[in-house]
Amino acid sequence: MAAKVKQLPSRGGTPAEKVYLIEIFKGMAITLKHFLRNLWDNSNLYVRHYPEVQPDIPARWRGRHRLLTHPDGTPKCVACFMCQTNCPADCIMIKAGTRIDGVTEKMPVSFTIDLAECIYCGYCVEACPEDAIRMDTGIYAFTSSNREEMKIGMTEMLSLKGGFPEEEYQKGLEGE
Amino acid sequence: MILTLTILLAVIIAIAWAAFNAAYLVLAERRGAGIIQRRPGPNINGPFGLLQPPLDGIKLMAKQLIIPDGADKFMYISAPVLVMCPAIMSFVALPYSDWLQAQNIDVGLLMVFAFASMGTMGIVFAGWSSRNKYSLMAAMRSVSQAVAYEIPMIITALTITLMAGTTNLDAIVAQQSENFFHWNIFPLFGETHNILMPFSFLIFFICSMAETNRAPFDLGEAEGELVAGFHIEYGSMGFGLFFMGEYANIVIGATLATIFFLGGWSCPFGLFPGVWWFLIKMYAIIFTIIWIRWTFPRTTIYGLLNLSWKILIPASLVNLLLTAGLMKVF
Amino acid sequence: MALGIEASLGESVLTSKLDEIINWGRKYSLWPYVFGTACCAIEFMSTAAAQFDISRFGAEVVRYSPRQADMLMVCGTITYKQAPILHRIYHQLCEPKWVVSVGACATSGGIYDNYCTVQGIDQIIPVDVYVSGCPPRPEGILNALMDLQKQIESNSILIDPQARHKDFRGILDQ
Repeated sequence: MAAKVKQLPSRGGTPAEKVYLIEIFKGMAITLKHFLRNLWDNSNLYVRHYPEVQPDIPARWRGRHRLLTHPDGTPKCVACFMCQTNCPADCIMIKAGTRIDGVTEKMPVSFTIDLAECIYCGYCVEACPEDAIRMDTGIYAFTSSNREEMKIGMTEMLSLKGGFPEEEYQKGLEGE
Repeated sequence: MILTLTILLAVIIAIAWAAFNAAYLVLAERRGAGIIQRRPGPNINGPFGLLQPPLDGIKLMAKQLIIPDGADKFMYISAPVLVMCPAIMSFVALPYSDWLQAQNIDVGLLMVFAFASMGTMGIVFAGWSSRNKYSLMAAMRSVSQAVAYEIPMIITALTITLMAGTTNLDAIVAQQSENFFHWNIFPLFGETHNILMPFSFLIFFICSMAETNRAPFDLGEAEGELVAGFHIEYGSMGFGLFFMGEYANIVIGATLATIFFLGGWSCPFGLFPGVWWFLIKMYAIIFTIIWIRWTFPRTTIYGLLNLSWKILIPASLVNLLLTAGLMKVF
Repeated sequence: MALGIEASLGESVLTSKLDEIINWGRKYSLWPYVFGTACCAIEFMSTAAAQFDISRFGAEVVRYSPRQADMLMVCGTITYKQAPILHRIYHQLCEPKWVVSVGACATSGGIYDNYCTVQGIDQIIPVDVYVSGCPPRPEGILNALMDLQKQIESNSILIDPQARHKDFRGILDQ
């Protein structure tokens, strides 16, 4: 069987390139051009001076989780355990309890997410039938010197506000 | 008494100059690398990051000094000293101006090359005494590279000696002291006409970069292959001394290139000669060395040794022969 | 510990200015040893590159020998097979040393809760700063560096900087 052969032009064969010294000088000229261009005009530098300049986080960015509430302040979460079941890293721990004001049957007594285990995949947001958990706070970095501090609880997650206006978030959801 | 004091002063100035250069060339390299790569280098500490080298020095001094178990103690401790001290001692023979030199030694050229060879011994001590096989392999590679590149370097220095008729570094500069075309890099006038000098300069420059384990010839420190080279097991100030020794050697290489080929302290137009022209030329060469480091990838060990034994040594020998021939004819 | 001063001077000397100077030097010259095994190492590469330049903090000299580095950055998943190697490298660093655990896998095993992954490197070596994320943004790694700088500011050469980790017993330390 005849194979189809395609000859690609290979570099490095011309006498000028074989001497190699000329290519060395060409390489040095490129670097010098970069050096002079960046020295002359500081705005050519590609760097973002964190922490003075904060990054531009889009609305779809999966940051810290937050729990949503109804307009009257009660949490939307009904402790259905869908997010805990769906989580690939097993980082959500919910304890359910009965709800006394009759809006739904259950509500979470405690809702802990271990940010040390969380892989920020967003499956909990996709699984939730009540739109009770979102990851749109726009908090993009979290460090700690203690692993216990990295477990966030219900009060903290209820108190976080969304980082983006509602229309932008919904537009982001439509893209998925 | 006065003589002792002047000698002492000269030694102190030599050490201070070497240390200042070693510290601030590191900063210049980091900032230069940054600007080539579209980022600033260290610029938080002090204006333009000028306080970064003292901070590095403070940190290195305050770190724990480790001697590995089973290491040969005498060799381990003396290796950084053996690399740093010859570099500083070479400054005694180097003239920076007609009045700014420690001693006007008649065989100054030979003395500087002798001290450069002593540094290689320090590398072997470091590699052998660390009781670590990667350190030993890296030291062997560094030594073979140093030995291979010393030869073309000394042969090209021999062409200069032939043309100048003396090994006294002062006299070599004095012969180039008119304008640009008397400089040895492109001598059209003066006592010596020799069109081969640019090649001598090129060979000398490449060899001086390879002698000091400087990229793209830094096989001894290739992290992918040899985990930081012969100074793997060196902690705080031992590593600091190796670092300083490398930069001091770069300064010596640049100084020698300026003295031999670029006319030392003379001005291109023959106007105000002085130490400032010397410093301008020396720092231009050092900038070129830093520029080359951030342009080229590392050579392989075979390419490195082939370049020396198969290309540079024959080229420098032919250069020497033709120079001698030209001197006889003209 | 690094200067051994507390052994000889101990309670007789107050070293506030000297402490400030040495802490200032150590703060702005933290040389990292990147123990990069997985994806978080790529985020470290991005931190060291042009956009999030780590060299502004003086930390771009990434030394490849543990003897010459200050800070061990564990970026990536550590398995039980790799654990003794990590333990050995940690003990080869010269004091004073700090450990940063970058990403979910190094902090707690992350998504890999199985028979071969160490569930957090603090089972093996003492850790100073944990960074959450999979992988964390370079800003997270820079935050960890700044947290370390704050921790260093409160050190003193009269106090052994490893005192907080003297009682650490990992699973490889028995």
